Amino acid sequence: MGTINVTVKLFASLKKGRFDEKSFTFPEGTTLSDVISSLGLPKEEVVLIFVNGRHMFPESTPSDGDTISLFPAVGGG
Amino acid sequence: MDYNKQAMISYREKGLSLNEREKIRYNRQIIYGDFGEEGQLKLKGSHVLIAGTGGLGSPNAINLVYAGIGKITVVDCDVVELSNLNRQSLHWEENINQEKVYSGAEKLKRMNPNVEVIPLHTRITDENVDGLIADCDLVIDCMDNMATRFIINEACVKRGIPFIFGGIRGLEGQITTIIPGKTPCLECIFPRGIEGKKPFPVFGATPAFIASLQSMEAIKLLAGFGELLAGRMLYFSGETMEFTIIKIEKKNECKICSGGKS
Repeated sequence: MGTINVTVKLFASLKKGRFDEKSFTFPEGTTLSDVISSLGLPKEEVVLIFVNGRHMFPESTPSDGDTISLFPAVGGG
Repeated sequence: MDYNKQAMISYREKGLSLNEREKIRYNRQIIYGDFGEEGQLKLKGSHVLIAGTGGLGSPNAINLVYAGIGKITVVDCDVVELSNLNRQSLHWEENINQEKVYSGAEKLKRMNPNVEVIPLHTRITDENVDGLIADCDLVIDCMDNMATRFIINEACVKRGIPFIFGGIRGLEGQITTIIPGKTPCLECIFPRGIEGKKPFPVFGATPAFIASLQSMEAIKLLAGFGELLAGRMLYFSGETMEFTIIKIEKKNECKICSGGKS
């Protein structure tokens, strides 16, 4: 099985103590949920996922060269 | 732009006009090129429901009452607490323990007696939501929880009523405008079960800022000018002063807006 290289961008509170933008290599077939887990991000804190600027869901599988943007929940009012 | 045909034609059907005092009161917005007296009449002919009168709801209600929306219904089930007073600008020391909608409505009516303000002290539920929004041209989301947002979203999609989503936490906020049939709905965007921990941290400036963006969207949508955050999510971080706008798309299998299963 091959691998994919992706760029992960963290936004707002998610990047505190982590990073702004970083490249990673994952096995092909890795889901976005797997990516989030591998970064040590609590799943409940990541509510919006965009791949190359398009809204995606955790079960989606990114492709080689994709940029994954992760946003936290801001559900107060 | 024809996002809300009902509001655009209703002022003519109602035979509305602006009196001399209204022309003076609203002059600074009437002289805005794409707005004019017709824009003001569209606002006058509109009914907006503001769901929640807390951090987001207070400045939204104030902005829209000053703007001259004809009828505003404010809905909230809470009473004013001391810990609300760092941000909920419609409520003051003297209102502690009073129902928020009555505390707010009394001041809103004094700010602009031309606006009909209807306070409803009730919790928004699956059972009552349809009746609450049935007569509205627009719903503004000022809730403090996702569960109620999903209830409002579903009802708005079914009735084809636009819904301006806003959320805040700390110094962060997000906003998108949902146009049923044209844009993704809340169910397309957010997973279920993402309720944040309460109490959530927040500075008063955050909801005041996001609410002002919601109010701008409301005015543009009702008057029919400008570009809406339709199909786009604006994400704001006050800590770094970053603004990010991301395109969002409908989920094909969305059970709320696409007749799907998820």
